[in-house]
Amino acid sequence: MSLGVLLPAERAQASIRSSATPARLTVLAAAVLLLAGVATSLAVGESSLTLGQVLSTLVGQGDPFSRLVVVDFRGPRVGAAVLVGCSLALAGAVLQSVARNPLASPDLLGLNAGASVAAVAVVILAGGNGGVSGLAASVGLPVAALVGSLTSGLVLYLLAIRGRQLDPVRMVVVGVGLAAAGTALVSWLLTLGDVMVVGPALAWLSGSLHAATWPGQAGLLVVLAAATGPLVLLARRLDLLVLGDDTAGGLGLDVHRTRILFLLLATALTGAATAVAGAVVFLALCAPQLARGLSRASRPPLLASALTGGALLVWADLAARMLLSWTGFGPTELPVGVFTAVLGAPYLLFVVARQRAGSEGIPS
Amino acid sequence: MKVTDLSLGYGERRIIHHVDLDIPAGALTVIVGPNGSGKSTLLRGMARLLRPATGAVHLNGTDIADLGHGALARQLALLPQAPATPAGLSVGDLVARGRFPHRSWYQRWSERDEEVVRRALSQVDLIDRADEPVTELSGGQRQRAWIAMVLAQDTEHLLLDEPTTFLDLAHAVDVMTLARSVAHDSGRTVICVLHDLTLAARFADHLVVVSQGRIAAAGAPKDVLTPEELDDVFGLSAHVIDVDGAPAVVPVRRA
Ligand SMILES: Nc1ncnc2c1ncn2[C@@H]1O[C@H](COP(=O)(O)OP(=O)(O)O)[C@@H](O)[C@H]1O
Ligand SMILES: [Mg+2]
Repeated sequence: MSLGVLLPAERAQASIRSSATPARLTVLAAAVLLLAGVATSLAVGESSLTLGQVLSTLVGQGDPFSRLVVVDFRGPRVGAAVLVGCSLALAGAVLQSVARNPLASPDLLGLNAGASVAAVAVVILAGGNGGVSGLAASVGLPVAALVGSLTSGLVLYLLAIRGRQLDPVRMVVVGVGLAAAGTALVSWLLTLGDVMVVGPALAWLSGSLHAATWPGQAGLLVVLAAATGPLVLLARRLDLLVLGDDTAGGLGLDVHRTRILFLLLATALTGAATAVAGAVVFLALCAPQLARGLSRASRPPLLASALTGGALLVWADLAARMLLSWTGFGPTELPVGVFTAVLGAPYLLFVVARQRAGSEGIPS
Repeated sequence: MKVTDLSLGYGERRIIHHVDLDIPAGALTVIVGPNGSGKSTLLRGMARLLRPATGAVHLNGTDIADLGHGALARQLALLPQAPATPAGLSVGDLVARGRFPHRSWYQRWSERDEEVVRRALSQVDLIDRADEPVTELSGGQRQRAWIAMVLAQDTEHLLLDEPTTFLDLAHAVDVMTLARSVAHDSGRTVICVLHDLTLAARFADHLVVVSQGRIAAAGAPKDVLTPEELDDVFGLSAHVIDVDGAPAVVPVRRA
């Protein structure tokens, strides 16, 4: 598969426009990192497989034991890491362009919080002994998370937009408020729950791929696939939105409608990803900016952001899964959300510091 | 371009009240007025970024309310006041975005796009700086890069909101000379909001004075810029003298 096919909007040419080479290299590097992470994650664990065993299983030739481990034990988890990582990073890339702010991401804007409130409400109110199961888990949880993030997306939109103009700073301030309100609501909901239910809810809240199943991530796959089409078609419009509302409008963009559409896509991706993995924080913040820096672009590039997000989460989940056993603390594991939070917090400080020291103009 | 009975505002608040304007084609029209008088609002209304409360704007006889987004952007370009420049955006890429209304989502970058962008960059004297990030240019160069973006839109009408803010006089004169030559040499209609009265008086073919959301005067600069008008609208006591056939505003020095 050639990158020229992958990147119709970013094709290189000897042109007055900047070269697409850094963008292509970023995509390539992220893709390699992602594939290597998937292969390693499938091989490493309590019963180790060789890379050869993993690969032959993936092409349908493996022995029954390898197949069991790859397809049934580790596959769902690795698949979920890829899908969740790609979706969150895409949502972050879109939001950062729409809000013209590198600090905009589903977690900081409170979209995650909406999903968490709704999902925890389902777990607490509908969950029986030991958490939700059956229909409530496979349909109720994803739908609730989706509705929750859409609700906070709507509130965010209504509060952050005045007179059809979006104020990037106001949007982040409103988002931080929403996130705080969400956290408070979740805490309150948890006090209502039975001890047997609160445990799994807490684990889910800290962001974990531990319980991932193939059917559980089908909804996310559908949302991601459905969002990809419009995102590819509309990617060029993000280039205009980062120039500000009036410039984009003057260039013939229907700013209001375009923005609503992008917010909807980002919100749906966030909700669906949160339903699968709980609150995996900071990933949607870091991955797009990492991809943007490497591509030397004026906004986070979509494909590179998605691949970077997938790669980061796969590797982070592997580390979260294995770190304690490698360091001799036995077979317990960290929720990956804790891991990304520990890595992401310094990154956030770095962005803030760089912004304060940085040049004029609104970085997006 | 013709503006009839145009009223604009934000929410309940009216800023522009029943404005009528006839903008001459192929000429440079300059809009002046005190801060907060509604110049930017008027310009945004003329570019359909604000929906009129009353009235309409016509381009060559067509109400702009009836045009599609792309169709309007191919006829009229707007450079907003103090536009936001994202970090990491090269001059060439910024100017290339001016081609957006000329390309559908499936269309690749064409020879014609490339040619128009190169011409726009040459016009503002930045053709050698295309690879540099816009944020690393000086204020004057950055303003010129943005003007090139609007020029690349290749429209019959150009609206520029205070393109000389933050520029020293020499660079401001450069920008106005460019605006005037765009109007005269290629027969485009250029409308420019300025805060500097002398600059406005020297470069405008047609001068419009806005005061409290209404047109206080419009016409040739020498007819519009009178000491009485300046006192009325700007609260400014000034002499108006003639230099090289164009008026110059010289403030009175009070003891
Ligand atoms: N986006 C906006 N929302 C609400 N009020 C605005 C907005 N932009 C401008 N105004 C108000 O409209 C009035 C005219 O502003 P403006 O058109 O920018 O004047 P000028 O460009 O002549 O300085 C001001 O009182 C200003 O506060
Ligand atoms: Mg103004």
